Amino acid sequence: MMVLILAVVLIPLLGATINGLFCWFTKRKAHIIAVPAIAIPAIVSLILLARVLQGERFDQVLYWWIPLGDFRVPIGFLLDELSAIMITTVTFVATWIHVYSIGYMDHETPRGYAKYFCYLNLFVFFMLTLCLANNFLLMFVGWEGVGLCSYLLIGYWYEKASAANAGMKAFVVNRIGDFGFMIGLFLIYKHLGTLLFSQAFASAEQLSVGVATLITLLLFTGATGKSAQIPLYVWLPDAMEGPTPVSSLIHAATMVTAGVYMVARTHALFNMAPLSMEVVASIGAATALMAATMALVNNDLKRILAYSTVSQLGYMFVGVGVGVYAAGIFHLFTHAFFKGLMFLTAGSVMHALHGELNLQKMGGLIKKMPITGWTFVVGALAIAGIPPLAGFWSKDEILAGAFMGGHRIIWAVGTFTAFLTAFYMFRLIFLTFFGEPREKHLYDHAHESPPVMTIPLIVLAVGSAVVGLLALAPHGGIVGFLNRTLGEAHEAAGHEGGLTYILMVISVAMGVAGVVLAYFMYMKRMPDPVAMARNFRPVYTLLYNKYYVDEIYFAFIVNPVVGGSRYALWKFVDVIIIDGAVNGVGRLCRLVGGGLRYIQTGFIPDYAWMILVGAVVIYWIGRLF
Amino acid sequence: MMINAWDVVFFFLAGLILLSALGVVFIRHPVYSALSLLANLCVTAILYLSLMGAPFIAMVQIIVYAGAIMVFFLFVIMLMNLSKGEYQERAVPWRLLLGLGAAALFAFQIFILAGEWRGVLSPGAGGFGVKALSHFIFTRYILAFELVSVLIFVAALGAVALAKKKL
Amino acid sequence: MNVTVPMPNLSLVVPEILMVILACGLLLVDLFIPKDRKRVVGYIALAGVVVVGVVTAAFWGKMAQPATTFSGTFVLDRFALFFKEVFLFTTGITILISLKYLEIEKVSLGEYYALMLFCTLGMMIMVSGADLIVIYLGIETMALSVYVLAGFMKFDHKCTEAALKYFLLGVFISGILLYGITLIYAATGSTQLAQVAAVIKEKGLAKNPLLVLAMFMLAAGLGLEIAMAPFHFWAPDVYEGAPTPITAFISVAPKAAAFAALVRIFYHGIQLLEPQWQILLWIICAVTMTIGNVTALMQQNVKRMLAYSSVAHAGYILLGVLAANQVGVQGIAFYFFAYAFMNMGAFGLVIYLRRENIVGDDIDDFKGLAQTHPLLAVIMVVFLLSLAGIPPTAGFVGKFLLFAAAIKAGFYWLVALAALNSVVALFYYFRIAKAMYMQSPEPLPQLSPGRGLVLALVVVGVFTLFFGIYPQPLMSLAKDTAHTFMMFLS
Repeated sequence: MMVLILAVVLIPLLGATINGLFCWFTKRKAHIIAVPAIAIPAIVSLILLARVLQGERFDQVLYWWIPLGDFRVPIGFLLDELSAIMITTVTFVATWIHVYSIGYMDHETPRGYAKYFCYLNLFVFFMLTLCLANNFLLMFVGWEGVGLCSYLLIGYWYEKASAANAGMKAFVVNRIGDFGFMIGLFLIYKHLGTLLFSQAFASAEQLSVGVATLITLLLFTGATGKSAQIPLYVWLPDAMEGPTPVSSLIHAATMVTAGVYMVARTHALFNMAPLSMEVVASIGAATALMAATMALVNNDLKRILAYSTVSQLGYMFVGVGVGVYAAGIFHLFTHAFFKGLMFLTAGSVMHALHGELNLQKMGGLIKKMPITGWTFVVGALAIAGIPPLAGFWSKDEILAGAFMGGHRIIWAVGTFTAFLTAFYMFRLIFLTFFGEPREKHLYDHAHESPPVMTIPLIVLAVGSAVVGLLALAPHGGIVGFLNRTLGEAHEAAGHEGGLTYILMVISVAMGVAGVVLAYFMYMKRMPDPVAMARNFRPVYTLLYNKYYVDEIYFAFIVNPVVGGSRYALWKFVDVIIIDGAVNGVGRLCRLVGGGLRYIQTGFIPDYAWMILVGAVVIYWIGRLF
Repeated sequence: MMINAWDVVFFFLAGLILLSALGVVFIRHPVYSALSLLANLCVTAILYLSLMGAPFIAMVQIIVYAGAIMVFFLFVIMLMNLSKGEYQERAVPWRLLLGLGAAALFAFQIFILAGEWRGVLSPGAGGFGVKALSHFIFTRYILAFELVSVLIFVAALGAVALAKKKL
Repeated sequence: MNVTVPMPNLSLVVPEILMVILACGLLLVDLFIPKDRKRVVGYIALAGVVVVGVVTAAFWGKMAQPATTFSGTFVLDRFALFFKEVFLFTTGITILISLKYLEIEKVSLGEYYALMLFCTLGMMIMVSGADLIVIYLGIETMALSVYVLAGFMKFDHKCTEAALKYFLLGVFISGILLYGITLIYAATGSTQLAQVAAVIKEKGLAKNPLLVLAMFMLAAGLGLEIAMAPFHFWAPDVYEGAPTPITAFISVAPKAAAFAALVRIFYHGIQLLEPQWQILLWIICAVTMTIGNVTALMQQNVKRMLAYSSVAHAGYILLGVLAANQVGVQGIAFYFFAYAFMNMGAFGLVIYLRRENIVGDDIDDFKGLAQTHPLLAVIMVVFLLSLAGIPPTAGFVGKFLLFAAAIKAGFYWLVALAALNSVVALFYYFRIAKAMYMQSPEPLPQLSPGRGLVLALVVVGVFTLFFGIYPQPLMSLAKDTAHTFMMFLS
């Protein structure tokens, strides 16, 4: 089992290394290395999943990285139900996104093409490390690693100012979250004396509620950064500046769900801190609603999907926050399929329309690109929670869990958000794929993407359609499977009886209502959306400007801290960090450095004097103590 | 503090040593400067002889430093045949002030230590005669003695390597 | 007078004897090798270094207890052995990276390699010296060789100037060191570390100002080679001017030797003055780290930048000396191997970029390296990461040990300062990375590295990563080193 796990983790690293070191050789053929480097781990993951299904578990320290007396830093892996589901999801979706990238990135320079695949493989390596780590430190390494790859890929077109900007934003915002995470890790080590999951969770009950609350809130701070929750969600919509397959893989299907995974993984700690659970669920619900409302009026294809991702991540946090961890992870699992799919279709549309993202310029594309269109519809139905597609099952689990757990308000918010989700998704569909084309020349040049791109779409569409049915598998389905690790949800008993079905009907009705409303507004123009926008101008403006959150952050946090934060990613590193011309510390360093350079005159007598004077001064300072 | 005759001799010689050392630094003319160094070395030799009863070291001091090395210095100075303008020192007062300050501080710390010197000093066992020295060199310090040979060899080797015309 | 000269136990100095034979033999062989084939001299020197390395390593198992010889003026323990291996490793790598460089610089003197071996000999004596006189002679042997090596390209003005500066300051400091030794002798009547320690204990001289002054002068004397503030002024000028392989050598080996000697003198000779030297080293450590890192920010020349970076690293290592515990010594030992890997590697890269008329030490020479030589750029990034102390590299583990030791000893503020300094350090290391990855290359003639250089880069690169990912073997060796060393103390 150890060998298989190592294979899963290391093969993507190998792929990244080959493409990184030999990009002058692999060039346009980089995918020949990169795709198998993900596909093989995907197959191995399935084997591992099968073995976990049979009840096997793996939790072993490979070696002690820095063995220093009582402080030992372990390198080790943990494979249980939770991580098995995670790695299977990650590798499966990643494989198809790699395939898709072959078609999508074909305009890149040969070196850039190899570099892209190198980063992508490296990302998968870190993501798998994150998921398979059996201790907090290795998890943190993976956590930072995926972040690094994310910035590299957001800023992939670093010549483009907006892309570089977005990379910088992601960098800064995530640092805030990571800082909390890190302090949380220190506290865990301080209070539990170990960084191993198994030992830490076994002794979690020793923690006082106060300490547990502090630790979990700090961990959750990290999660809000990585998983784009209030108040740190602002980087994700901007991250759409990266190549679309990257948005699909990193900023929808996998990396951004790391926060949810982390909360589920540390559920033993969260169970000790009811207050933290409340915070997680509330922030999740608030984020879900807020992001969904922002998606209502946006006209940028990818940004709508980004807000939708933020919103769906909110759902997942609701799930883990109300204690139905398995449902949260289940939603993570289904979401990876349908959101990954939708981003890829968006990429396909962009590919056809030469990078155009404005919904208002599209329309009627289903005739030109039927596969893209219909697969998107499948994804949208899945996210809208229409049975029997994937989203229905997982979302229903979460909402039912919230309701049963007594979180009625959160349930209501979630259900309303489900309505909004269905609405904005179908608004997007009707504006993009149906109706009359609004920009004739764009429409005329549109074409269906090559098979290398459409096949992944079809595969993921099928996945989006059916993976939800895993809920019906024997022994409690996927939720029951996950519960073997995550512990039985507290209201598992409530699943029987009519209440479940009533809740189910309500959420489906909400989804259908959203679809129908979108149909009437955007296909039949009744009520006319333009008139609506006029009549509700304040609300519309507020939503259109994303609640001015970016502006508020800029005015109150970013601008005071970093005067010139409009610099590009590398410009940022160059100016603020390296040359230090903007940042005060940098300037100070520069000044002092300049002064010191003045001392470095190059004349021997000067040096000799300086040594003498310096030595005497140090001697006398020493004597004074 | 009792002042005996040896103290008078010591302070006299020490004063001479200091004066001649200052002369080395401050006299502009290189030949005079070198002569001042010669005086310094000779007085030091006298100090060894008179106060420490170490005739061998005194002789070595005269022969090696005052004899060989000084002659060498003077040869170099005369061969270079410096004209007056070339040895004008750059006058930078702040450096001088800084240095004087440091020297003063250094002198002060030596001065406050002076009280502690007495009693701590323990003369080397066996005196400073040739016999005693050679005894030490060939027993206890045999390794150091051998190492000195390596050191001198390295110095010669380095000099040859740097002096070779071709690389 | 009947004098019986006791026969010293020569078996303990076999590596040193071999080294002398090797160096002298090399000079002889050199006479018979024609000018265009001087490379052979290098190969012989390399083979000899490997042999001495193996012989030295063979002592490891036997040296669980320290052994002395030559009336206690020479000691062989695992601490000495460990550092001897550091020197020999560094010398070997330096020879490898010199082979081609010397040809480009049109230097064809066999003395180059002989001097390097003598220098290594001096350092080996330094770490084994149990008597201040012996340590001093070791320092001088090392220093004289290095002065000459630093000025080896004597038709290059920058190079001779650098060597002269190095020499003059070295002599100046050497005088101070010698003065310190005489003061120790004056206060305790001995130069042998064990006896010095015994006398201090016996007579209760721990607070004796004379000894404090002597301690300070010893620190100054060794501080020059360590390149700690305020004795670091020579470093940037010399690093920039000296032949790059020698710069690489100077930046690692003499520093390690001086540190080892400092640790031995301070821990075994004047350990009772610990409160005094802790204050002294605390100040020096803080100043050294800060000056090194802050000044490095401003440098445009990579060799100068690495010079200041090496000053800063001296500051980090001082943390381990200050800690005065087992983890500290372990950290120092580990760090020097790690430091040898990464610093030799970084300088090796500069040599790699040496072309006709281009020294390859300007940051602009690194422009676009990722596009023209991606493999080289990746290796350089590994070295930079390691220098900056980012996992998974050996540099991180070393820094981790040093910081852990200092925390254990209670130097929280100093560690905080060191951590802050590491952050500053990131910026200038990443300037190089930025030049390699984010700028376009300029049309340059083809690079033509020697095979020796490539081999050296691969070796140090692999080690940097390997001991970053799996540091345990080296850590346990360093632990044994520290264990016996500290055991001797009590």
